[in-house]
Amino acid sequence: MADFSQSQPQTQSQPIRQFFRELVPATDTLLWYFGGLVLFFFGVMLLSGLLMLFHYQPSAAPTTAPDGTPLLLARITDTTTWLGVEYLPGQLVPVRADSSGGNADFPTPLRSAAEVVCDSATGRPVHPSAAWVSIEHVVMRQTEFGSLVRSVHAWGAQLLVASLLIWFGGLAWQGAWRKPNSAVWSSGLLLILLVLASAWTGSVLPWDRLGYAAAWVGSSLPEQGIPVVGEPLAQAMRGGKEVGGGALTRMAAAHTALLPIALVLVLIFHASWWRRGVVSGNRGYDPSKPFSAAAVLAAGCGLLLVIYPFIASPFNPASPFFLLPLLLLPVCAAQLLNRLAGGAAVSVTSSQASSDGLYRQLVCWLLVAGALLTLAIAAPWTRGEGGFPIDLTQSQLAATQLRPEWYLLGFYQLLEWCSASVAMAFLLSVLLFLSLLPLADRPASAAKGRGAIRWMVYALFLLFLFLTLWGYMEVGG
Amino acid sequence: MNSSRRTTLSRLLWGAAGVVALPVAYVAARFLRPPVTEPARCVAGSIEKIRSQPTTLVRVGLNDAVVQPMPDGTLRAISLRCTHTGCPVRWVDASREFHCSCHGGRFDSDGRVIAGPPPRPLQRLRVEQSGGNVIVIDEPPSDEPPSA
Ligand code: HEM
Ligand code: FES
Repeated sequence: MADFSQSQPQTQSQPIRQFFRELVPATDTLLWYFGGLVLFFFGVMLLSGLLMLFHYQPSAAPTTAPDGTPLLLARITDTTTWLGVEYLPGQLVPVRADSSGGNADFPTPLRSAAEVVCDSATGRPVHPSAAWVSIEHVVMRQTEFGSLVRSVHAWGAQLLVASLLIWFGGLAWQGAWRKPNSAVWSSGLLLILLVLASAWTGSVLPWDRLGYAAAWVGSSLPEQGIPVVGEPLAQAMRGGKEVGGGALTRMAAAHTALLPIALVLVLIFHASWWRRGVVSGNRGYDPSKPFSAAAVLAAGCGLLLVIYPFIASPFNPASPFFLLPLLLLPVCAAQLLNRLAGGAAVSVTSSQASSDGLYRQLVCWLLVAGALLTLAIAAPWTRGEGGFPIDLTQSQLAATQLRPEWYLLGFYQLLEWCSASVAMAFLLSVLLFLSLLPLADRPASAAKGRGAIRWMVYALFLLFLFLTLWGYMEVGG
Repeated sequence: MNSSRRTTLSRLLWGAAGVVALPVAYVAARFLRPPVTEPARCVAGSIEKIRSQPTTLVRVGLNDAVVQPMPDGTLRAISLRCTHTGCPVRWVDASREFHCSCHGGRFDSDGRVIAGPPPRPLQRLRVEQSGGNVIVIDEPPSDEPPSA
């Protein structure tokens, strides 16, 4: 590991190095890597998201070809190649309407290999929205590396949420809300909310069944669960009483501007408060037993990774039983590598060693980037049944059995068991409890070790795990 | 660990980061290129009607074009988009030329450049016949390579 300690001659980049040295103090507990991963994945989301903005059209209106010809939706009936892309039966494509507007003017390769999709209720052709076409057709099929960039964004969102939950869980377990860290703790809670809001608003953007359902469900929660302010809040999210084209505009504005800006601002404060006191607890490790925990975890994850595809049918790469090992494995590998490279010479508590932090994170980022790329290439993102486009002029919003994201399963399970207002009240009081922790925890109770408050946090954990597992068993897969 | 090993390791790491950053930049650049799209097409009219007129004006995508029956019995379509910076050209019957009003480009009736800044002749478009209709497609005819 590079050593930029005091013996280093002063250079122009010294202040930058100084900044990173303080930002990334070296501990190398497994947990510590997940904090860095949150930052890494946020960078990935920013880059892939900004790229997609160059193609994405945030509009629910029926779309046209670049020259203004209206587009209709067609379903592939026979395998065929069109514009260099192979299409399989069942896939949906936008095709130009002919001059009458009601029939498709099929390009030659599709002429006997596709049929116009008509709404089952009205019998009229479906007009896909600009948003859906720009993502599912333009980005996914007609743009070089489009499928890769979209998949990186979508899988990155999954892994970002996973890292964040692991990081947060670990910190809560360690009691990281304690005195020098109260501001870090509170801003961290805010970060979690902002990321979850990003994931929600983002999932609306392709404007398909899944997105439409997500917009309804997400905005209905405050409406049903919060008295007085809930309804205006829901309408503010939807841009009206119902989820229509206006909702998509709002979700896009929130997802691509408001939330990223808020996230960056909060991150800056969060990180600079964190510099003052290392939340993860500089506990270091025992140099004589360097590999134990990481090796065991890595072996376990490797095993799950290998056997999961066989035991799960159909194989679902979005399952937490696959995603979590996929994330943990490179993190464990990074820890092993770092310990091999750094050896016992690194004393994690000395100020000298702290400059290693950035390098240790870099190792982890490189390995995780490899895992993310492999996932994005091997399993291009698809929204399955939920990927059918929404046509607001038609009525085909037929109910599809849509699966909530794995990290929301616990909350859905809660909603199964009690009314929306009770579930919301519970969620809000948990949030309130978590954000008030720094006030409640006096040094005295910390000294006593596991005080009542700690036990409450543990109980919340177990509840979350229990609900999530229960929800997982309900929906299966 | 001695400091030379540290320096080597740190160089290795930054090198690896660079090896990752380069392909990322490459992918981003390719991703930003415009998407592949189906060329615009339009039904110019029935075959008899097109054959009976010396020229027929049609709109293919965002540009005008003329379709003409040739003495050898084939049909030909010429885009009316100037090859200089893309202004529309118009047919001047008196001199039997296409004139571009933007920078004074002039083309003969076959689309060859006679005067002005246009670098290439007017673009020929593909013509197909299907179901008794003439269809003009906004791409070079199959016998002509796309112009640079
Ligand atoms: C915390 C960070 C972020 C999270 C968790 C997140 C999450 C998501 C999710 C879950 C989707 C839907 C993916 C799909 O199923 O197709 C999405 C889509 C999208 N996001 Fe983000 N995103 C984040 C940041 C950003 C940023 C910073 C931008 C751009 C400024 C952006 C732009 C987009 C665009 C244009 C789409 C639509 C394309 C698509 O659906 O794949 N995102 N985002
Ligand atoms: S655009 Fe026609 S001469 Fe310049």
